[in-house]
Amino acid sequence: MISVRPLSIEHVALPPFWNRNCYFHEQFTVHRSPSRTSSNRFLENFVFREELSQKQCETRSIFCSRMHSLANRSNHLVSYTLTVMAIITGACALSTRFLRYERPARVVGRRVELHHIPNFTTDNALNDFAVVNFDVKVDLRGLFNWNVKQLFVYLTAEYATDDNVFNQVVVWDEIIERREDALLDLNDVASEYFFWDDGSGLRNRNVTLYVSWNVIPVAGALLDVASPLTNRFLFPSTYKHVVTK
Amino acid sequence: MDYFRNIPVHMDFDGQHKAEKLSRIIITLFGAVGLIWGYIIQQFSQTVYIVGAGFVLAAIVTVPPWPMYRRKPLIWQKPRPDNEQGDSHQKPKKKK
Repeated sequence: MISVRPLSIEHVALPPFWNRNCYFHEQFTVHRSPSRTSSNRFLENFVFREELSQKQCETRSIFCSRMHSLANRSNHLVSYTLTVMAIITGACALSTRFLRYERPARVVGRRVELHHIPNFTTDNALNDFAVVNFDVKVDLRGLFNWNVKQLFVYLTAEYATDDNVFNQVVVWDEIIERREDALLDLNDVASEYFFWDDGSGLRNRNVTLYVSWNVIPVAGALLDVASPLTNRFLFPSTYKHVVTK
Repeated sequence: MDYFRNIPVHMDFDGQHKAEKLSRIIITLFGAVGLIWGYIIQQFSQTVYIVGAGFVLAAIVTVPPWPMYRRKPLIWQKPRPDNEQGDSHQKPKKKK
């Protein structure tokens, strides 16, 4: 508790902001330490309008900052800037929250090479392996706004076999970072990743290809959007290359 | 070392109040302008740069104890001699 002593009022200088805010004088901040007698003497000779304990001061300083030293002012500034930054980022996320990111992406499977070879990525069992060539045509330029950092576009092959009812293989992807690069027109591009079947069920199989994309935002939800257009095509009945054990 | 210790870094009460008000005004203003400008040109990075510029400006204007924040120093009483200490303990004055 800061000691309060009535003195004749004409000698007393009242700090004008002490009662409303918690601004500090450097000599007030050390009054807890008993060794600082000179500071204590200053305090004893000082009259406050109102008694303020340290706790009351801290409670009040929720709404205003301590500004009495370089470190306190820097702290106040960084804290307030980050608060403003957080509000701005939230506003940015909110401003794009209800935009639609669906676009029609035309995809056509051109041709497939089927192989029956050991799956060297796992257990060397004989599995079906496919190399798909396809066309993709999609205009994603309209997706870019101030809350889109990049797009991750990928092509999925989906099919059902006797062993597994639901198979999904991502065979190609691309990262788009700029609006100018977002007009995709791919012709006869070969699949980028291994298209392994879990077993040997790719012959005479109807496989559906479709394009999806992740919208990676500055702030907010990371969306996963699939194009409504799909391309279903039949895989060949013969292998191009067969390995027998 | 003493030379550096003796550089005064504090502001008076009025100066602290002014510095806080000014820093809040600068950051808020730059934040609002940055938000609007970034939305207009659809570039969030520009918003961040504008807020950063506001931060630098506010740091230059309000963090160092410029003379404008030290114009109303407190008027202190003279320290009283110790033998007078016991005679005037009373209840603290209440704020009216």
